Parts: sequence; C-alpha cells; structure tokens
Amino acid sequence: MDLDILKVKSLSKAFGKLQAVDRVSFTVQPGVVKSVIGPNGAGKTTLFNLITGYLRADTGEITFKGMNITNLPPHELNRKGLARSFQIVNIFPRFTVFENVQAAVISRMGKSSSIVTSAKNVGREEAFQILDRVGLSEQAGYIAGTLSHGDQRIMEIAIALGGRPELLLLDEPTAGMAPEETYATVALIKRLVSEFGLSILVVEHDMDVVFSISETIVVLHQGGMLAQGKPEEVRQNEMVQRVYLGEEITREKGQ
Amino acid sequence: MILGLAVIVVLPFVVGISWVLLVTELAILVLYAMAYNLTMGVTGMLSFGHGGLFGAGAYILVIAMIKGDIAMPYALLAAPILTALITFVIGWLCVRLTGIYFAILTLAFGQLIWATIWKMRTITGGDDGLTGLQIPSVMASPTNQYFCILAIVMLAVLSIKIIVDSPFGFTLKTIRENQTRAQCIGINVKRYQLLAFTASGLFTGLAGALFAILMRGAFVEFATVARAFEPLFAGILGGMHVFWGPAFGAGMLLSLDTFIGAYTEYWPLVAGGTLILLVLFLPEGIIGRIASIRKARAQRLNQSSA
Repeated sequence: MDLDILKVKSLSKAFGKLQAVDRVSFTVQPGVVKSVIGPNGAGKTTLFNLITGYLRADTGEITFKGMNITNLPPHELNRKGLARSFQIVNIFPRFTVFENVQAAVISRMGKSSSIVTSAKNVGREEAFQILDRVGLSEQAGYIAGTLSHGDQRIMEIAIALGGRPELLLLDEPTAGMAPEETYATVALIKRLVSEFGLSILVVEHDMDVVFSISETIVVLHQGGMLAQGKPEEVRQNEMVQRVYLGEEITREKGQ
Repeated sequence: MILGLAVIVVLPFVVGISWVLLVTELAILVLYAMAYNLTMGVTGMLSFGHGGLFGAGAYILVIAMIKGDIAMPYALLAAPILTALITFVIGWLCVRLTGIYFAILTLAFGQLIWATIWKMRTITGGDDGLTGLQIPSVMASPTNQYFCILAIVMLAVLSIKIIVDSPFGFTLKTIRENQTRAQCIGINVKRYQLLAFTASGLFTGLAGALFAILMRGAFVEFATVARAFEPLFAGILGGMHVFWGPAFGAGMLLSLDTFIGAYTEYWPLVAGGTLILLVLFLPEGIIGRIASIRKARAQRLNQSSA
C-alpha cells in the first residue's frame, strides 16, 4: 500500500549543459500542502513541467497514487486526477467565467465527444458549485478576460477543480496579486485541503504565503535539493538561510 | 424562422430562373463556408486545403455517376463519405503540426488533389473536366433542383449547428481559445482537431457534390487554391466565431461577384478592398460585430441590475 499520493524519485532534466533539475526526490502525502521554494532559476517551474507532462524527464521516476506516470502526456495526467495552474494566467479569455469551469467539468464527465445534446446545461450544476466554492459565482456570466488579475488566478484554480483532482499543482498562485487577493487565495488553498481533502503542491515566491500554508517544504537550489522538512526546520537550516532565505527574510517588507 | 422558410418556399414562383439558380448556388456556398468554418472558426485551424476537398467531393459524385453508373442518391452519399475518408488521412498527417505549418501542409495536400485531377485524364478528363451529368428527371427543372438542394443544405447546416452547439463543439472551441489549457483539462487536442477536420471534410465534400449537380459536371477549377480561399473570405466577412457569420459572408461574396461583376471585370478588386477594410476595422466580421455589441449590452444590463 502506497500512502504517498505523489512520489518523485531522483528526477533529472538538463537543457544542453544546464542541469535544470538534478536528482530531485520527495513525496507528497494525501491531504497536505507541500511547497517547493528556491531562488530564481532553481528549477521549480521545470520540476512542475516534468510532473505535469509538459517536459520529458531525462532520468528518474514519478509515481502518482502508485502508478508510474513518468512522461505521460498532460491530458492523460489530468484524467488520472492531477490538475495544475500556470505561473502566467492561462485561461479561456473569451469564454465566460462559467464556461471556463464548465469546459473542465465536461471533459472530466467524459462528455467531450458527445454531439447529441446541447452543451449549454451539461455540467452546469457542478460548475456553479465550484464557482460558489471559490467565491466567483457572482461573476459567472462575465467574460473571463475582463476579470481582475486576482480573480483570473482564482478562476484558474476553479478550472482545475472541474477535473475533480486529487492532487493540485499550483505554480505561484499569488503572483501579481494585491495583498487582500493574496490573503483570499491563501484562505482558499487552506479550505481546499481542510474541507475537500485535496493534496496540493505549490511553487511560491511569497515566503509569508509559503510558511502559512505548507505542511512541508522542499528547497531547490541550482536544480538540486538543498533541504526538505517542516517550515520551522527549513527556516532554521543554515544552508537554506545562506543561499536563499537570508536575503528574503532580511528584505524590507512591503516592497 | 418561419418567415425565412416561407420566403424559401415562395421564392422560385416569384422570381426568374436565373435567380433560382443563383440562390441554389448561394445555398451550396453557404454550406461550403459553414463546413470550412468547423475547421477555421470553431477549432481555430487555418486550412488552405479545402479547395481540394471541395473538388474531391464533386469529382467523386460525377465519376461515380458517369463512369460507375451509380444512381444519384448513392453517389450523393458516397461523395461526402469518401471525401471525409480522404480528409481523415490528410488530417492524420497534418494535425501533428500547428499554426502556419499546419496550413502549409493542408495547402500541399489540396494542391496534390488538384494535380491528381488535372493529370489523371482517363478518369477525370483532365482540364476538359467531366461534363454531361444526367440528373434524374424529378430534379431536372431548376425549381425542383432548387428545392432538393436547399433541403439537403438545410439538413446539413442543421447538423453542423447541432455539432457546434454540442459538448463536442464546445470542446473544439476550447481548443481554439487555448490549446495548452485545453490539454490540461484532459482534452486530447490532436484527436479532436482530427475529428473536427474530418467532419469539416465531410460537409465540404457534400457541398462539392451538390455543386457538381448544379453545374452538371466537374471541372478542375473546383479544386483550386482559390476555392479554398472562398470560405475563408466568407468567414472573415461575416465573422467566423458566430454561427451564421460565414453564411452571411458567403452571401456577400456571391452578391459582390454577381452584381459588381456585372458592371466591371475588376470585381475582385472590390472584393479585395472590402476584405482589407474589414480586416482592419471590423476584425470580428459583420455578424460577429453585431453579436458582440449585443453581448456587451446584455452584460451591461446584467451588471446594472445586479
């Protein structure tokens, strides 16, 4: 019996001479938030793209719910229950907010090839439930591209939820957000775990966010693993402080 | 809707034969434009190969009837189905590429069909074409032909409408809007692109076959690249992201051709000029613009009442 929902074993990826991800191993337990941090260029996004099938790994193995998912294409990973959001807003901008989520719900229901009914009401209820959950039901009828940046990012999470994932990968979910939006997103992430039992893997820059949501943290540096552990352990790790956290923690707040 | 049907029914009894033929041609071009739009407007794939597919549909019908002595109803079934098969094979090779590379490869295949028709004289008649198509007597008069073709076109357009409005059609639109995103909500993008392209080929083949019936033969001009641009222009004129946009555009193109063409042989200049103006000032197309004005108004009302 495999208790970990995600298991990354000795994963490596090089771009030419640059070793972007170097023998990274960690696990994600069900129902917790795990964060991946590290300075710019540490290989966080590459790691994400490897796990979600956008890049092929050179070596190593990724296991999801006990299945080997290394190098499966993105759409198959999504069907297995692994959803992601992107660092740069990635939505259907000309669809309404409702349609954005509905698209994901229809796909998950396996109705994408159905041509006998009208799409209008397919998955409607579930899409509205999700919008309710993330607090976007008021904006359901708006064109998605006209939402504020923060709302678009939350809508991305809503799209991911349409696939009823067990594991959610969020790539900098609070990037570019105003403080109150960040606060709302943090609350949402906590709620997704506590109320809906999701497991979440997050790449995040904002250290306050990382320390307030994470059960465990993985620190990457130049592609390799620098440290891993509970937030307090990571905070006190000398190496981490030296290469990364030092500058972040001593940095002036509010800039 | 009912008014439209009434106009269609009454029309052949109040206007002359040349008008009846013109409207019949229009119906076929509307079908062609909407078939093409399944690829371009709905799924967001630019294809230059549809001229070849249109020609294939026409030639399959005519060859089946003249050389194979097959009755028209069967030939009319075979043409779209075989065209869809051809489209499937072409599509299977093309969807590996995206954007302009996809477009160029479809252009190559379209040209391949055109060249095949041109060179295989014994079967296709080469640049003489295949003439002397015998139409069953029930369909021979312009009025009867008008009703038959319009009925088939309406049925086909209704099918396209059902496809576009279905979850399948919605899935195609998600691919058009954002391929990466579509992928990571679990959609096998290439597979759906291939399905859309094939469906588009099916209806394009039907339009070609109907056109051959109207022209009483098939000619190599049916399969040229210029043919492939017609439905693209229609989509740009009318708007390819609204269902009736390409139909409206096809109507505009034929009107420009017929009425301005009657005054001057430089009508393509007028058509080209119109196109440039539209692309610059009305990129959504005419029907598309009307639709988005309506949508914006609805959203404003929505917001002010909320």
